Amino acid sequence: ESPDSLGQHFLAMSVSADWVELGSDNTGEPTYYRKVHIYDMDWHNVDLESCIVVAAPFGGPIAITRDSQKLVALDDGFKPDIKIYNATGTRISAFPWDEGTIVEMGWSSSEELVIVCSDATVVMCNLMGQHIKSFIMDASTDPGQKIVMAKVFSTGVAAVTDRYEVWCVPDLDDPTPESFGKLDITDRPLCMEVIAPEFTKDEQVEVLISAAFDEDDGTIIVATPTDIVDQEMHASPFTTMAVSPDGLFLATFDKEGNIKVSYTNFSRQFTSLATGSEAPPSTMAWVGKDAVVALWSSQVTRKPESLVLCVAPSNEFDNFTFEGPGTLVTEVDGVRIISLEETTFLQKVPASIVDIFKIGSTKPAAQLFDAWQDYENKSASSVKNVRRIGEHLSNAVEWCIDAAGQEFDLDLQKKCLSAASYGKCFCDYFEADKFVDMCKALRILNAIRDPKVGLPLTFPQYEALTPDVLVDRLINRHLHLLAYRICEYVDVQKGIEKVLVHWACAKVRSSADDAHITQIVVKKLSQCPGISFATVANTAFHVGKRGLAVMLLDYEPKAADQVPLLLKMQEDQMALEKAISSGDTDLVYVVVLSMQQNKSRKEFFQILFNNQQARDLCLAYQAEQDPEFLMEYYSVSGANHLAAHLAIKQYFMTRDMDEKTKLLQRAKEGFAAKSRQGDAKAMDDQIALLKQQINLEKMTGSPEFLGLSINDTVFKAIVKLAPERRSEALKVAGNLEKTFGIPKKRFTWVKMRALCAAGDWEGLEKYAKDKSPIGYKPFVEEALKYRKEETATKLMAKVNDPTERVQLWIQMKKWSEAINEAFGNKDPELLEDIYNKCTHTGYKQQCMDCLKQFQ
Amino acid sequence: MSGKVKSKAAAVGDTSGGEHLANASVNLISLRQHARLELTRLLDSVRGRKALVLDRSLSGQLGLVAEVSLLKAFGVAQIHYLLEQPLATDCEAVVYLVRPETRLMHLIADQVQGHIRAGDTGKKYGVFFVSRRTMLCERVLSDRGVYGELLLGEYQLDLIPMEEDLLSLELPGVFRECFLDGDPTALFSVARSLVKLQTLFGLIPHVSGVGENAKRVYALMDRMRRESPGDQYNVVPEIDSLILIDRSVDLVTPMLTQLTYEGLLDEVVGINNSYIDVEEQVLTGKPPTNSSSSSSEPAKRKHLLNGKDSLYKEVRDLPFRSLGAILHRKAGEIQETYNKKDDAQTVSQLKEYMKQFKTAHTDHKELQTHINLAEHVNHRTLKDMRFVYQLDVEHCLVAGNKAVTMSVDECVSYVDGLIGKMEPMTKALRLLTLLSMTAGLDRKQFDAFRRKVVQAYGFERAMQTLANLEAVGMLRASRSSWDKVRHSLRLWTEDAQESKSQDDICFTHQGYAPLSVRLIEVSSAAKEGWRALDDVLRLLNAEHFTHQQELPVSIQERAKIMGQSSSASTSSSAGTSSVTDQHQQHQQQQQGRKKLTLVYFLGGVTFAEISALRFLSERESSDRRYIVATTKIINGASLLDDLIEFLPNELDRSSLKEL
Repeated sequence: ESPDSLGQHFLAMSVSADWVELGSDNTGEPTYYRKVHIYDMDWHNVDLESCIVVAAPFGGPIAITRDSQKLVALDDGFKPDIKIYNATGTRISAFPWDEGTIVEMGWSSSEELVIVCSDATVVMCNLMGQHIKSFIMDASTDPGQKIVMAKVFSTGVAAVTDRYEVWCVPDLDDPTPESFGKLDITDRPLCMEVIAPEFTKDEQVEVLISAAFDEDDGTIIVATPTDIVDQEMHASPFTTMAVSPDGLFLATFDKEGNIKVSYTNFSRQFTSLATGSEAPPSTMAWVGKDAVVALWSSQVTRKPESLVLCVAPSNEFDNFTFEGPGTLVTEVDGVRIISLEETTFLQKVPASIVDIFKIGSTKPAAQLFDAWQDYENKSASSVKNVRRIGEHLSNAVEWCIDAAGQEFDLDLQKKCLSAASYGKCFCDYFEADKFVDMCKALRILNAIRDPKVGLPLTFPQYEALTPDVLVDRLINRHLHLLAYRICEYVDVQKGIEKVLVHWACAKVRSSADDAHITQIVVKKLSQCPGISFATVANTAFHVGKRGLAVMLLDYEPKAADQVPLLLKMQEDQMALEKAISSGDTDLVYVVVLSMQQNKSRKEFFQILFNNQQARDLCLAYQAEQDPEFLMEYYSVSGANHLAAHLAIKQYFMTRDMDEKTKLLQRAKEGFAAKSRQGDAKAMDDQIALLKQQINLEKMTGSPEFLGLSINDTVFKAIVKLAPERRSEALKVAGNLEKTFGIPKKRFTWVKMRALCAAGDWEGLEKYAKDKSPIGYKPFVEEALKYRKEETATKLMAKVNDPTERVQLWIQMKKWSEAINEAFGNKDPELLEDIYNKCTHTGYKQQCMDCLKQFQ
Repeated sequence: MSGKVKSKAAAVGDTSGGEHLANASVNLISLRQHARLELTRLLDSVRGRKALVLDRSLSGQLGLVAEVSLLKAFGVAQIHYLLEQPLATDCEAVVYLVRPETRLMHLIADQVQGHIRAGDTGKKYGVFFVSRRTMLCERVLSDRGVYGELLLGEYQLDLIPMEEDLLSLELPGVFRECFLDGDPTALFSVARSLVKLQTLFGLIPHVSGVGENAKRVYALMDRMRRESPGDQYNVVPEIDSLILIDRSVDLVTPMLTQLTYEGLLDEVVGINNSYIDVEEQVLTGKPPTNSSSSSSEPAKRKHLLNGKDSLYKEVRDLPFRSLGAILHRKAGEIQETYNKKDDAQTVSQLKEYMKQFKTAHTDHKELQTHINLAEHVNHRTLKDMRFVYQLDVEHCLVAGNKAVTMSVDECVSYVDGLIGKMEPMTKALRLLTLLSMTAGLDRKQFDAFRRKVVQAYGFERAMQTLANLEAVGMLRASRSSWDKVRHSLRLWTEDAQESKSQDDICFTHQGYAPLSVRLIEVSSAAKEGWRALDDVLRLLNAEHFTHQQELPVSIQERAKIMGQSSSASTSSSAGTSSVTDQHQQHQQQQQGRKKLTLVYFLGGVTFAEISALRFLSERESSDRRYIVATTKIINGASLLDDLIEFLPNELDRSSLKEL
C-alpha cells in the first residue's frame, strides 16, 4: 500500500473510530451509531435534577422550571421562575411564575412554550417569555376537576384529570377544549403519550394512556374524539412511553424493566429487551426512527453519572454514561442528549458517511474520495482511479455531496465537497444545482450552528423544517439580520418581507420616540415595495402607540389593509378618505356603515354632504334598506327634488289612499324650482287623475282604473261603461281630455280605438263624422283589426288620399276596387304593389293589363 | 347519452366550445382554461356530492366557460337557482355561486337556517363570490349568524372570451350603476380584469382613454399595480395599447338601429351570451306544422351564434342590405360543387368529390340557416314600411340639416306619434332620447314630451324613468352641439347607400359612422393622439388622458432581444426563399407586425361598433389590430331597459271608503 492510501485510512479511522455497530439493515449491511459533540453548554448553576426540563426538537430551546412534584417547597411563599435557554445553554429569557401548579410544559411546533396547570389553565409564552395567550382547557360538565397529567404536542395539548376524564385542545390557534370521555380505571394512570393528528389515519388526535389494574395487569387505553378503547394487554404496567417522530412506533418501559417497541396501532411488536433495571428511566426517546434510547439521570442512578441505553431494532444495545443529570430530545434523525456540560447528538451514521468513511470501504463514493485525496497529494493514479468508478461516478458525486451535508465538522464538509467537485469534472453530465444547493444549505447551516446563534440543525432536520420556518425561528430569536441575509441568500422575497415586518414590529415596541421609529422603519421597509405597513401599525396600536400607528399606516399601500385598522383606531375620516381613494366600493361601504353606527345623525349627514362617493353609495344602499333615512337626508341637505322623487317612490309603496295623496303633495313641494315646473305639473295631474280614477271605479263598479295611465283611463272609461251609458262615458272622456290637456290627435286616436274595442260600430261611424286630426285611415285599419269589413268599407268614404285608399283596399283584399282606384289615379307603382301582393291570377292579369296600358 | 362521467382531467382539458378562439391574436383559450380550472378547484374544495346553487344572473356567463358534464365530473349532482324559497336537496354539500350582493346573502342565510331548523345540520356549505368577496357581504352573513357555517371564497370569473377578438365581463346594468346610482363597483371589476389580463399577456405599455370613468379605471389599475408590486408582469407585452372608452361619451350610437347582419339580428331577435332564442321554424324555414294547435306558443330553440360557424364569421359584420347577394353567391358555389358529381369519372375523382361534397354539405346547412334567419329579419325590417320610415327618422336626426329625406319637425311629430299611439315605451324613448341628444329640445318641447310620456305610459312607468334619463343626460332641455360634432368627425356620409366601395366605418349604420369608433380611429391615426380631438371632446364634455406604463427593465431587454431575433430570422429566410414566398411572408409579417390594441368599452358596446372596429383592423392601411373588451354587449333597447323603472302601485282599496 502506498503512503497516500494509508493517509486515507487514518482519516477514515478517525471519522469512524467511535462508531458502534448495532445490528444490520435489511440489505445485511451493518448499521452504526455515533455520538457527535455539538456544544459545550454555556449555562451555570442550572438545576436539571429537581426541575421540569423540556427541550424543543429541531435544535430548539430548553425551558426549565422547578418541579413542584419532585420537591416539597421549603417556603410556601416561594414563586418559581421559568427560564428559557437556547440549545447552547445561553439564557434567552426568564420570568416569574405566579399562576397555578405546573403539571406539564412543552413546546408547540411554532416554538411556543405551553404550560399546563393543575386547575386546567393553559398559558402560552413565546421564546422571549412574553405572554401570548391563556385559556382554560376544561371540557367537562362535571366541575372542579384537577389535571393530574398532561402532554403537549405539535399543535395542541391533551390532559387527564383526577376523575380520569381525557381532555384535549387539538388546535392551539383556536383553543376549543374537547372531552374525549372518561376512562374506566380506578388508579391514577402511569404515563401518557399523544400521537399528533398529522400522523393518524383519520387526522384525529390519539391519546395513549398507560393504566394498571394491579401489580402485573397493565394496559394501554387509546382515547380519540370518537371513542375510548382499552387494548386489554394484561402486561406488566408501563411506566414510560415514547412515540417515534413519525408517529408509527411506540416504545414502552414496563415495571419488569423491559423495553418493548410496537406499532402505535398495536398490530405488531418488534424489539423486546430486558434491561434488568427496576427503576424506570427518567426519560425515553427515539434516535430518529431508528432506535430507542432510555436515560437514567443521575438522580435516579444515585451516582454522579447518568446512564444512557441505546437499543437498536435488532435488540442489540450499547450503553454509556456522562457526568451529572441530563435530558433527551427526539429529533427526526437522531437524539439530542443534553447534560450540564455538553450537548451531544446520537444518530445512526448516515449511509453516505458509512460508504465513504467505513474502514476498507470500496463503494464508489469511497473510491472517489480516495481518488480526490490522491489528486490532492499529486498522485498520478488519481485520474485512473476516478475513471475506474465508471458508470457509478455520478452516484458517487451525489453521495459525497450528501456526506458533506451530514457532517458538523467544517473540515470534513470541505473535503466531501471537494471530492464531489473533483468527481463532477469527470461526469459527462451532472446537474450542477445539487452541488450549488448543498453549498448554500451548508453556508446557512454553519451560520446558524454557530454557538452565538445556537441552532444545531442537521441537514435532514433543515430540510424537514424548511427554510421558511427556519426564518420564522430566527425572527422569534430576534436575529433579524441573519434571517434577512438568509432570505436574500436563498432569494425568498416573502421571507425578506416577513423579516422586515417582524423587525419593524420589534422596533415599534422599543422605547424610541415615534418620529425616530417612523423614520427608520419607513427607510428599511421601503426597500420592499408592497410590504405590509399595516401589520407594523397594528402592533403599534396594540402597544398603545396610536399616533405612531397612524403615521405608519399612511405608508400602507393596500387600502384593504389600511381601512379596517383605521376604523379600529376610530380614525373614521381618514378611513373614509383612504377607502374612497382606493376606488374599492366595498371598503367605502364598510366605512360608511360603521360611521352611521358610531356617529350622530347630524355628524353623519355632514360627512355624507361633503363626500359625494360616500353619499352615492350610502344612499344607493339605504334606498333599499331604509328609505326614511334617505328622506331625512334629503330634507336636511336641501336636495328638494331628490326628496320629491323619493316621495314618489314611497307613494308607490304606500297602500293607504290618503297617504298616497299626501305624498304626491309633498313631492310637488319638492319640485318648487322653476326648472322643475314640469314635474310639479305632473304631480297635479296625478292627484287629479287619482280622483278621476276613483270616481270611475265607483261609476263602473270595476276596480281596474287606479294605476292606469291617462290614455288608458280614457280608453277604459269608454270600454267599461255599459253601452247604454256610452254618452255618459264619452262625457267623462271629454272631461279627462280637458283636465289633462290631452292633445286632440292623441285623444281622437284613443277614443277611436276604445270605440272599436267596445264594439260600438255605430258610435265609431258617428265619431268619424267629426273632423279627425289623424285622418281616417287609422279608423279603417282599426275596424279591420276587428274584421268589421262592412264598417271599414263605410269609413272608406272619409279617406281622401288616393294612395292611402289603394293601400287600404289592398289590406281588405278588395282587389278590384284597388286596381280601379290605382288605375284611375294613373299610378303604376301602386299597380305593381297590388300585383306583388295579390295571389289571385285573374286580378294579377288585370294589373298587368292596366300596367301595359300605361306603357 | 350514457351516464358515464368524464374523468376530471379530461373534463377540464376539454377545449370543445373554445375552438372559435384558436386564431385569436392573444391566447384566449388559456384565459378560458384558466376560468375552468379555477371553477373546478373551488368545486373540489367542498367535499362530497354537491348541489350547485346559482345566482340566476350568472348562468349565461358560466355556460360560456363550463358545460354541465364538467360540473358533473367534479361532483355536482344538482343545479338550482338561488331563489326566495327553501332549498330542498339531499346532497351533503351545497355550493353557492353568487355575485356579491347583500340581497343574495339574505337568501343564502334563509336557506342555511332553514336546513338547520329542519334538523339537517350535517351539510357543508361553500359560498363563492363572482368575482370578488366583499366585506359588506361577509358582514350580512355574520349578522345573520351563518358566517361560521360557510366556507367562503372567490371565483374570479371576469373577462370571458366570446370571440377571438371579443372579451366581455358579462356584467349587466353597469351603465346604470356607474352613471345613475353613482356606484362605481363595476369599475373596480374592470380594473381587476385588466390587472389579470396584464399578468397573462404582459403589461400594456400605452394606455389612453376618454371619459370620467375611463380615467377612474386607469387610476384604479395603476393603484392595484402599486398595491401588489412584485414580478407578476413577467411577460413580454403582447398587447401594445389599451384604449378605455366611457359609454357616456357616446350615447347616440346605441340609440340608432344597427344595420350590420349581427347588429340587426340583435335588434330583432336578441343575442344573449352568444345565443339567439327563436322559434324552430325561423331556423328551419319550414312553416309551422298545423297539427300542433295554433293557440300554444311555438316551441323556441336556442341557437349558438359565434365564430365557430365559419359562414357567420364571414358575414356577420356586413351591412344587412348586402347580405342577400352574398348568400346568393354562396349558394351558387355550393350548387357548383354538387354539379361536379357528373364530372367525376374515376374512383379517385369520386373520392375527391365526396370530400368536397361533405364540406359543401355542412356549408349548405349553415347557409340554409342563415338564409332563413336573414329572411326572418328582413321581414321584420326592410320589408316593413314602418321600420324603413323609422330608419329615415333616425338618419335624419343624426344627419341634422344635411338630411334630405325629411325635416327635423317631421321627426319630432313622428316621435310624438309614437307616444300618442302608445307604441312600446322603449321604442318611443329610444327616438326621444336620440332627438334630445342630436337635434336638442327646448324647454317647452321638453316639458311637453315629458307630459305626453307620463300620460301615455302612466305615472308608474314614466315618472322615475324620465328622471333617470334626465340624470344620465340622455334627455334634457337644452340645445345640442351634435351638429358640430358630426361635422368635425364626418359622422354622416350621405351617399353611403349607393357607394359600393365601403371604405368607411359608416357601413354599420348606412351612412352614420359610430362616434365611439370614429374617436378611436382618429386618435389612433393622429400623431398627437387624443389631443387631436381636444375640440370635439370638449363639445362632448369628455376628458381624455394618455399614460405610458413603464415595463420592468428585464422585460424591456427581453422584448428587445425578441424583436431582434425575429427580424434576424426573417432576413435569413428571405435569402433562400422564392419571390412569391417572400411576398407571402412579407404579407404575413405586415399582418403580424400590426400592433395590438385593446379597446375596453365601459358600460357596454354594440355589435355594430365591434364590426366597425373589425373593419379598422382589417383595413390594409391600418397598422393596428383591435380586440374589444366590454362590460356587456348592449343595444339601445337593453341600455334603456336598464334605466326604465317600473314601480308597481301598491294599493289598498279599502282605504277608499270615505272618498
